Amino acid sequence: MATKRTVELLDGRKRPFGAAGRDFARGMREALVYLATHPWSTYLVWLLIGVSLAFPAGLWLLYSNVNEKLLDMEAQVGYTVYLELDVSSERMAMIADVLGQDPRVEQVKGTSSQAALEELIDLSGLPEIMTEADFNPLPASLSVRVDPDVSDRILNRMQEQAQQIEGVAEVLEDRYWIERTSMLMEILTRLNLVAGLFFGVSAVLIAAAAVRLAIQDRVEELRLLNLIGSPKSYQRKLFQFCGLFYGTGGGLMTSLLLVFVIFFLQRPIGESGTASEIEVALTGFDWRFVVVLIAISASVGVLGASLSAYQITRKLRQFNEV
Amino acid sequence: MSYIEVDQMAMTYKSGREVFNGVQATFEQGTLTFLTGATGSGKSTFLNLLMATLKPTAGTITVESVDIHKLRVEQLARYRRNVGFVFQQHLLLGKRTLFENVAMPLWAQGLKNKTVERRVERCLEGLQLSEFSKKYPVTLSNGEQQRGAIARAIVNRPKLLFADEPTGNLDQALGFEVMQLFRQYAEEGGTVLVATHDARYFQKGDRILRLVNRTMSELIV
Repeated sequence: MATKRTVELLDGRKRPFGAAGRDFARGMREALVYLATHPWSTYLVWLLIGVSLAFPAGLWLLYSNVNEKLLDMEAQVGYTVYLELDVSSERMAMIADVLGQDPRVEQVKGTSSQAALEELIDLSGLPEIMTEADFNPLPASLSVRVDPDVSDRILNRMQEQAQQIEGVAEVLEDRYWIERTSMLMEILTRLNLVAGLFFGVSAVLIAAAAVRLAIQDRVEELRLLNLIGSPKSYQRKLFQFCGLFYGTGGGLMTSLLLVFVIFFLQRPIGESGTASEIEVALTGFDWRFVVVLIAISASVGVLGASLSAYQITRKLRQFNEV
Repeated sequence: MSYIEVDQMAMTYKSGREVFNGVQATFEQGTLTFLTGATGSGKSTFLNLLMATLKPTAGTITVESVDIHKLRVEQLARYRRNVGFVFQQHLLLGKRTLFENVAMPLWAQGLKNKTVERRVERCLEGLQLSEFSKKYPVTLSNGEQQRGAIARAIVNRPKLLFADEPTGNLDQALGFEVMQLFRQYAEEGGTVLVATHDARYFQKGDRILRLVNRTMSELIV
């Protein structure tokens, strides 16, 4: 008997089919109206979220660019042959010929001691008068690029053979500084994770604080909604959309800030690349990156909004305690 | 079995003030009951207990044999969709138009926009408020605001209608008009409880209950 009556009293007011969809549309519309009627606070929240996410996003771009360049370089297997100081240019050409005869060698590029000195002066800013000095402490060198499929064992043997040639002072594998850079990349990866976590949390908190203000603005309405029997999910939805739009706008703002930073850094990075004979151009900032960035930012906004909405709607208890 | 049954209900505030002790009452469908008593006698508290916004410290309140204070959150929301409430302060939301204020219970129920529009318009028309539909509460007179609050309470055609001093801000003529609306609602099958200390309206009711000394007694008029 009691069960039947429960059904009669409570099921009589079951929400009809499609109610959740209509809640969804209403929540979205009301959030848009709220944002449009509070433009300055909306811009401010977008900017705050944008700034918070710009650092980890920028760091990630830097990481992916350096990593890509490193992979390119790792693909260029080879070693550098440093010659003795008194080796003539004819002897240098002869050694280059000997090294180049090995079918596994793809390219041999020579740098005379004079060219090495000029390059050093260019890069370090030492006085040009040094080029006219009688004694040049830098050796001539031969950069040998080897077929990337060559195994480490064969590469070692090739280096040992090069070491036996008369006039060769030292042979160094080019991988050495790549390994150093890889260690730096490990630091950069961890830095990226930590920055992503810290700044991500700060973006969540910004969204939560902004939505909390929006909720405070409508707390009377929430109380009323509670009294007239609106589901908690409907009450929360009103604010989760605020978070979604804050996050989406914040993501767009992050993209704009990154465009500005890339524009600001492009010229000096390009110049430094030219000086090092490395082709340097920032890549990875494309539409896919922007879409992922906005998606992450929107999720951050929804998460922040959900935290605030959940906290406040929970406070509007089932029964008041007086 | 009565529609609403209050059984040995007691209510003591956290401050230690005892409002009710051993209250026993029943309410039938299609009746208009007036609840009267001195200021502080617990009229509003009683309505809040029926709304399930307050929980009794002892005893039970059942509606259609369902103990409303044992309902889960979602069930309680559904129960409240069965209840219309006119507050002492009309509690219309200042940032919403009259239409939006009245539409709220229907939105909360998730009805289609067209259905909401039709029902709100019909309700406002019945209360002669159609011309104020797009106006904000602050631009309306006290009487219009109170009628707006009544419109919001009945737009969902609730089974239960509770009103707490609904004529406090109105002149006598408008007060009678409002009471006539409640009378009509009861005749249409609703269970209406009105808390008031104004004896002029008692003639409209089927029963008058008086709260005194933490209990409830029936007044014979």
